[in-house]
Amino acid sequence: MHITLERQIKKYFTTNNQFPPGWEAFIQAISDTYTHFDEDRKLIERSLEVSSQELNERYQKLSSSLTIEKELQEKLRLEKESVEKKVEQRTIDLNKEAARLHASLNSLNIGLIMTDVNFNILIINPSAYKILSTTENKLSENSNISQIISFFSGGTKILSKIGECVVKKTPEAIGEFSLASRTLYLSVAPIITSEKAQSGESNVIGTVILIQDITEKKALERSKDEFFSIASHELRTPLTAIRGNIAMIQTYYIDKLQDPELREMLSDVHKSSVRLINIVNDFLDTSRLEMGRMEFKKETFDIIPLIQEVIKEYLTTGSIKKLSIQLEEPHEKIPFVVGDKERVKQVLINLLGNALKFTSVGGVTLHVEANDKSVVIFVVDTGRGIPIETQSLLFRKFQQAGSNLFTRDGVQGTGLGLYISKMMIEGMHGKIWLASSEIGKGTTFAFNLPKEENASV
Amino acid sequence: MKFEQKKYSEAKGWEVFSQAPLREAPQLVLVFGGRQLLEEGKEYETVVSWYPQSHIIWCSTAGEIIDTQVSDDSLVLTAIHFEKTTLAFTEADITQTDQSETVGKQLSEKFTKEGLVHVMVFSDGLHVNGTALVKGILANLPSSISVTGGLVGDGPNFKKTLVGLDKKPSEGKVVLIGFYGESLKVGYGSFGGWDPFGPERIITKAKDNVLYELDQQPALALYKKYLGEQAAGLPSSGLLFPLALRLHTQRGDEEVVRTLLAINEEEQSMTFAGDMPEGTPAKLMKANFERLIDGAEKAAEMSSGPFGVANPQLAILISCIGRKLVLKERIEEELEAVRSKLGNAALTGFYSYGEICPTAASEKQCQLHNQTMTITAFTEN
Repeated sequence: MHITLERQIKKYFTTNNQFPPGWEAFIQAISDTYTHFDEDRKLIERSLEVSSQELNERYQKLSSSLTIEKELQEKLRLEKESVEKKVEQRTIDLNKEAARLHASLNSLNIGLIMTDVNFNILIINPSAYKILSTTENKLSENSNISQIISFFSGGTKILSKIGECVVKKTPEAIGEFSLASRTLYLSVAPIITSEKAQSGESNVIGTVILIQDITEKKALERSKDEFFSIASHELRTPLTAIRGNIAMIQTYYIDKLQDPELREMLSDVHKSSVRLINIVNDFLDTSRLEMGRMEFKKETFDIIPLIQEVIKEYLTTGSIKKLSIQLEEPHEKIPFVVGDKERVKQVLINLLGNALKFTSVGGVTLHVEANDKSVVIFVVDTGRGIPIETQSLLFRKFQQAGSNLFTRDGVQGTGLGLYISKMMIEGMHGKIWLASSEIGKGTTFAFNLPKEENASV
Repeated sequence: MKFEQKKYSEAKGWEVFSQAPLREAPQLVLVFGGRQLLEEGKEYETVVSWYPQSHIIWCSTAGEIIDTQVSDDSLVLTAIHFEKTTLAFTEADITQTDQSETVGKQLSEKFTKEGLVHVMVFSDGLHVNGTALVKGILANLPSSISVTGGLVGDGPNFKKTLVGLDKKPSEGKVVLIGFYGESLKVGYGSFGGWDPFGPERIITKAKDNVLYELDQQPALALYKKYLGEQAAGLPSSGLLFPLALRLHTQRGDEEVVRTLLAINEEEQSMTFAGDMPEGTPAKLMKANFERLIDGAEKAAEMSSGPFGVANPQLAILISCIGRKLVLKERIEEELEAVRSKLGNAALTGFYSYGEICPTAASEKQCQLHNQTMTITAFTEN
C-alpha cells in the first residue's frame, strides 16, 4: 500500500488497517492511483531536469561558439582593414605608375601600340593615332591589330614578323612601309612577364609595336644627296677650266715663265685643282651610287690586261716613292670576268693608290685567283698596316683607318674611296673585303667578280 | 442505422449495453478484444452463431472501449445494421514492413469506386509502416474519399497483434471496409494534446520507420536517459515520450507525432509506427493530463462539428495506447469528454498502435497519427 495512503488511513480510520468487508479492492485502487501519481511526478521532474540539463549544455556550447565567432569576426575585420589599406596604397601607387606611363607614352613622338597575346589592341598612344589615322582609316582601342595591318600593302609581312617576335621572344625590325604619302618604319618587341609561365604556356603576354614616321628624315636625306650632287657638278665645271688652263700654260707658255717661284706656284695650283676634281668626282660617284643612279655595264673581259694598265699608270708614282709594283704571274689561266670594265678599273686604281699611299718601304703586289664562281684579285702591300679596332670601319663613308677626315696624317684623300669601291663591286655582284692586315708589315685587300658563265678554269 | 452492443469479460460473461436487441440482421459486426482472448478463440463460435449472415471483424487491442468504459482482456461487440448503406470488404496479408505501400495499393485497388464514400482500415500493428500503408491506400482512391482507421494493439506488450475478417483473427492482416451510398454521413476528428519540450533535435540516421540517431547520438540512449528507472519498461514506457516531427511537405511544414513500437538493443534502434525521414527536426513530447482530455474533446467536436456529422448515431473511437499508459486510472475521463460532445451516439473502439485520419475535419487526405484520439462518426439519413 502507498505509504501516504497508509498514513492517512491510520490517522482517520483505524489503527490496525481493518476495513469493512469489500473495501480492500477499493483501497487498493486508491493506493495504485497514489503510486501512479508518484511515478508520473518523478518522471516529469526527471524529464524536466534532463531537458534543462540538455538545454543548458546547448546554451554553453552556443555561447562559447558565439564568443569564438565574435573573436573571428574581429580578426576578420582587422584583416579586412589591413587588406583594404594595402589595396588603397597599392591603388595609389598603381595610379601614379599609370600616370607616369601614360605621360611617357603620350609624350613619345614615336607611335606605340600595345597588344595582348591575341593581338587585341590595349593601348594606342596619340602619336600612333596621328601617324596611322587617315581620313579612310579610323582606329579605336577596341580593335585588333589586323585592322591596322589592313591599312598597309604587304600587311602579311607585318603579321608574320609580329608572330616571329612572340615565338622568338626577341624584338624584330619589321621594315619600311608607305601609308598614304608617308614612309613609316615599324618594329615590334615582345612583352615578357617575370612570372613563371605554367607548363605549355608562354610568358609572353603581348607585344609593343613601334611606328616611326620617317617621311621627313627620308626627304632630308634625299635633298642632302641632291644638294651634294648638284653642288659637286657645279664645282667640277670651273675646276676643269682651271685645271685645263693651267695645263695649257705649263705646256705652251712655260718659256714665258722664267721665274722658278712662279712656276712652282703654278704647279701647286695645278696639283690642287686635280685633287679638287678627284674629290668632287668621289662625291659625285658616292651620290650617284647612293641614289642608285649609277649604271653598270655588263661586259665580259680579261682582268689581267686591265690590271697591267693600272699598274702602268702608277709606275711613275711608284718610282718616285722608290716602291715596286708588280703583278704575280698567275699559276693558271684566269677566266674572263663579268662587270663594268671602267668601274673595275676605278676600284683597282683606288686600291692600288691606297696601297702606295700607305706604304713607304717595299712595294705593292697584285695577284689573281679563280675559283668555282668568281675571280679574286688581291692587292698586297708592305705598308704600315691597319689597327684592328678600325678595321671594321674601313668600308664606311668618310672613314680612313687611324684618322678622321680633317687630320690626314699627311696623306691626302676624301675617305670615300673604299666606300665607293664597295658600292661599285656590290653593284657588279661581287664582294670586297680586307683579307689581312698586320701593323708594320702590310695589308691585303681583295675583291672578286663573277666569272664568265661556262668558262672553264 | 440500428445496432446492438455487448461486452464479454471472464468475470461477468456477456453483458448487453444496448437498450433493445437488434431485430434485423447486421451487415457488420465489430469485435474488439484482448489479444489472448482472441488468440484462444474465446466466444468465437458464439459470436458467429449469433450473426451467421454478417461480416465480422476481429481486432486485438491495447484496451477495449464501449460507451465510456475502458477494459482490458474483454470483448466489446457492436453489431450494425445499415438501412441504405452497402459495404464492401478487402483483406490482405503482410509479413514484411517494407511491403506496406504495395499492400495498401492492392487493398484499395479492389474497391469499386462508384458510390464509395468512406474507407475504414484495421491493420496489424507491428508488421506495418503506417505511413507507407496509408500512402499505398490513397494511391488507388479518388481524393474525395475519406479514410480513417488504425493499427490494432496488443496491450502494452508489443508482441503480437491480430486482425480477422469472417475468420479467426491472425497476425499480419490488413482489412478495409468500403462504405457505399449517399445516405451515409461520415465525420472524423483527430487530436493529440501532447506538449513538445526540451531542445529541438535533428534525425541524423534513420531508415523508413526505424530511428538510429538524433543529433548524431543514439536515440535509444536518449530515451533511457529520460526514462530513468522506467527504461526497464521499454518499449511501452517509451510511449510516455512520443516524438513531434516537423515534416517538410509541399503544403509547408506539418507537425506529426510518432510513437514507439519496438526497440532493438543490439542495433540501438527504435521502430516507430510511421516514417522517420532523415533531416527532419524532432522534439520530445510529454503528457499534460488536462490537455490530453481536452484533445479527446476537440476530436469529438471536429467529428460532429460543421464539417462532421451533427448528432451522430455511432462513433468508432481509436485512441493511442500512449494516452492510456499516461492517463491510467483517469483514462475514462477522455471517453467522458467525448461523450459530452457526441450526445447519444453509441461509442465503441479500442486503444491502438497508430491512428489513421485526415489532419483536419475539412480535409480528405488522411495521415498516420500517433498519440491521438481519433473518432469516426456515422449517421444514416
